[in-house]
Amino acid sequence: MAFDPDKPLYAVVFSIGSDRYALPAADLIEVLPLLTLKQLPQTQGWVSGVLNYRGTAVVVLDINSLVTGKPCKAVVSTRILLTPVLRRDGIRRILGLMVEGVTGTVKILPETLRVSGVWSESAPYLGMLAMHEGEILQIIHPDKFLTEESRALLELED
Amino acid sequence: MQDPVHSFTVIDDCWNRIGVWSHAESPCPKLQEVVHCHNCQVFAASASKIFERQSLPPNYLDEWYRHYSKPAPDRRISEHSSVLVFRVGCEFLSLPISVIDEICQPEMIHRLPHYATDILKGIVNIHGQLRLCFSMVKLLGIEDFKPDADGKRRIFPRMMVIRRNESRFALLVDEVLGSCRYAQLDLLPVPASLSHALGKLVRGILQDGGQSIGLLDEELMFHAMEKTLK
Repeated sequence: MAFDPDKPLYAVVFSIGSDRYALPAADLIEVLPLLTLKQLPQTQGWVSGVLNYRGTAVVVLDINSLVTGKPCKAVVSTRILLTPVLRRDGIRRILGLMVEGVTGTVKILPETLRVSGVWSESAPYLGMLAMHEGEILQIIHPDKFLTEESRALLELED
Repeated sequence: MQDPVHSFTVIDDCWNRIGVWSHAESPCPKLQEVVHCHNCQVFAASASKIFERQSLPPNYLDEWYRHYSKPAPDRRISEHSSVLVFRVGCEFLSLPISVIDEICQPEMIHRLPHYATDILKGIVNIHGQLRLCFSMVKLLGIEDFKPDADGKRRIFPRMMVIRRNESRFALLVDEVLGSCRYAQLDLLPVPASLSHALGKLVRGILQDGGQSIGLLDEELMFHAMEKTLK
């Protein structure tokens, strides 16, 4: 999601390992608490399961597991961020991202944003760095969590 | 399993030790800046650690599952509006926030010779701009009422500047009470017991904290004020 460089960026903050990341609020549908998921046997470890979101089936990915290989802890601050993903045919699907340490929102001022200087092909979801009140927050582009392979796996592409 | 309350990182409850809930002789230096522990980052950071407890409360996962598997409640967000509540005589009234330009101390009213009526009090100088000033009591035909002077509550009369397009008028009200948000569907019909002049200008009744508040129709208000100028 492109953002206006003149306006502050509102984001939900979460943790992966000991680092803090920020997901822009514009990419969010809702923040859910941890809840019972329908398990999907014989899928990748980072597919947590399927969520019944007001009657819609939403696949939930464990972002900790996807990035570090360790699943999210079952604590209150672990939550599910619902974000829209667009299929190539234009149909909007909802994807759930289970992340740890969701305890608040921040207002990031555009002048605190820095380019990280490192581009990782395997982690295209990493965005700019925000110097926010003494800590470094990295902006996350949730639509880029999915590789071509995982999109096909989640039936997002034909 | 560990005791959930004591399993998270040990918290230093500095707010009890040197903060506003303590009787320490040398209070926390941060209080100079933040005034109250509620505004302090340390307090907020400690509070968020409560969410890092090792175990979830019993039935947590299933309760939330049941909550989110139901259809979304109808929140009627688009049909919410905000109003500013004020008192005129014995009536609690409100106007949409969007028409309120400013609330200020009552200014001296200069009468307009041969023109001033009960309704049009005169002109006032607000930040160097001259505005026509109307009496809400007379415009709405409300009984002028002085609350019991028991001295328990001080009452501050205010002047409100309201705006529609390019026209701005000043109104005298007895008290401004604050803003209130309501859903269109909660708007109650106007009771027949309202006085004639007031009944014509009130669009509906809101309930806020046990108080009935008349919602004035801003179009009709401006129309009534402009009519007195002809």
